[in-house]
Amino acid sequence: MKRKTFIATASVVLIGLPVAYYFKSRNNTDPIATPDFLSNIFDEPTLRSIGMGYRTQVPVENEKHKLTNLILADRGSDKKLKITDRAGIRKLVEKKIQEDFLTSKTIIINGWEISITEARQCAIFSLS
Amino acid sequence: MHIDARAIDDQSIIEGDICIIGAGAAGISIALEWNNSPYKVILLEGGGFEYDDTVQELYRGELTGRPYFPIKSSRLHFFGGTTGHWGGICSTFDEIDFKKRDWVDNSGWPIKLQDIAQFYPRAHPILDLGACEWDLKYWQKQNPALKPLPLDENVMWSKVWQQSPPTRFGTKYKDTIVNAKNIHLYTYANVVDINAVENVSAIKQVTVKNSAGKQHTVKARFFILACCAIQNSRLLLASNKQAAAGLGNDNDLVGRYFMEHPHIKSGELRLLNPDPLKLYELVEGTKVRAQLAFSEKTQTELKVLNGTIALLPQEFAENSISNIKMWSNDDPRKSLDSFAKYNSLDKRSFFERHFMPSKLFKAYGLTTVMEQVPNPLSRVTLNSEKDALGVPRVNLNWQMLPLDKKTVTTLSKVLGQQVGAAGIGRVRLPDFMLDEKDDNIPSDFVSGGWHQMGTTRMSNDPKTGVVDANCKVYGINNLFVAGASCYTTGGAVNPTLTVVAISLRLSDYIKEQIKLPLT
Repeated sequence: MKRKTFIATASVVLIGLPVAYYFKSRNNTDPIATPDFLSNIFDEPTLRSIGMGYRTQVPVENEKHKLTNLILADRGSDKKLKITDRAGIRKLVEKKIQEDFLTSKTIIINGWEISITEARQCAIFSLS
Repeated sequence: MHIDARAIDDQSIIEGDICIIGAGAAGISIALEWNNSPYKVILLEGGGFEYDDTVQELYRGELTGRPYFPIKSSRLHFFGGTTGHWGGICSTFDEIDFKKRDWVDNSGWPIKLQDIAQFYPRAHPILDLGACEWDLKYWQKQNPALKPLPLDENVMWSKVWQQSPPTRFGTKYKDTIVNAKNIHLYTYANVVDINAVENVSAIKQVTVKNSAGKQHTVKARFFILACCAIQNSRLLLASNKQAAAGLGNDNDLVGRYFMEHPHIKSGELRLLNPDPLKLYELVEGTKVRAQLAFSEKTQTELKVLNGTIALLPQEFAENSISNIKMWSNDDPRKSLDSFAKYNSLDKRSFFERHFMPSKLFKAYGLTTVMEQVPNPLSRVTLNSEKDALGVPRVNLNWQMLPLDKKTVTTLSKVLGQQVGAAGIGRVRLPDFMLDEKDDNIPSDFVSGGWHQMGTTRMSNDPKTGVVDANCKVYGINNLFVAGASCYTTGGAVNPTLTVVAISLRLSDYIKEQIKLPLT
């Protein structure tokens, strides 16, 4: 392998590994701050860019605690769900995202039409 | 029987029962219906059996509105008409297309879908289409791989499209027409004037001319204009010796309401899992496929037009150039060449290049194909310049309205909500959709389908239409118009299948009328 090719390949691998690790191990990550679905179709810079876009469009929510509360608001029958129950929270967020789409609670950021809930997730992600 | 109008004596008088002006999809479909009947049919074609630039030049006109295909090259002027280079894409109109919709100005046909749909089974074999089945479930039984996206059918559904080979009428029906004893096909017979009786209540004869300097007169009991939307209106407007505004134009409607099917690059669908989306792909050999369509309920609730979305692998879609830019030469052969050259860069065919069979893709470009609001200011008018045979050329002022943009934007957003709710992907909207205050759609995003409609629209009131429900020109007893120029609204599908169906309907009507005694 030529030196230049080796350096290029190694760089891609080195840079790619942490991103891959991060997303592969998302079961251990904060389900509120991690937009699961979007992380499967976008890379990390895109997620951050969407998050920053949301914070610019909705400056009153530009704060992690506020965003978290809004994501967890209106839990309905899931009121008793503990914040430490990651699987339960993940399921709740998925449900909220689906409801957002069904009720037109969507927002367009960087051209992408996404649910308000996942936009808030991206916003938290971009603050980390 | 075939007669070259250049070869017969000057000032010939030609007489028949029916005179069909134009030998394209509409004119030939009607003529075939009368084969072996006791009636003498005169079929007039301005060109010959092959392309002739002298004849094609007669179509040249001027564009004064939105960018569009050159008028000269957007239609073919020889036997078979524009079926000589059409793509063969067919689908059926929807019920809502015929309804009066309070949010769509000038909508509402005087007939219902069923009035046309009953002729689809007869139109199918003419266009070499498959079974006259338009329900997806029927085709899924033939091919279970045709799976629709899991969307809410009350909102958005997968509308079936069928592919004609495509049928080239000039090739397929030449022998039948030429060998028919009662069909007299005159080539190089360009109608330059329609002459009415003194009180303009009926047509007495038409005048035809050709480049050989010959002029003839054609007399018949019934006359059918079947020259395409632009030329039908041109002939009516130019026949102004007895009616100053042109024939059938007492209410200043001829030429107005010109419509196309805007084809608009409308975003990107990014899927969670790569999928060939087999139901939606168009590859060489495709007979049946689908496009995503607005349901009637969605159109009504959101107050938008009818439209469908085609899916194209994003790697090709993002590099695609507007058809209007590619098809920019006045000479249709040169425009076709540049179209083919662009689409064959890597020596693969157009379809292979754009829709690679069954390859898994994660990103698809969206192309919305939609009707547009019937707009009286989108119109064909006469130009001061005349063609070589003395007929005024035309100006085409194609326009779009704010509801057109609202529709394309809404369709992309609704698709975004649908795929989001289904958990299968997300949709990205192009920049031009993001500013809701701007009603404009940039030209780079807009193509046409070479679908020219309107200009002699159908209505049950002469104050709002040029032809009645039977395609008869108001106020003129024996003059009819065939084809897409009669469309009141354009629907969201390619027009040819319905052109043939509505022409067969007209033919049946005249068969009834011809039995009646002369009045």
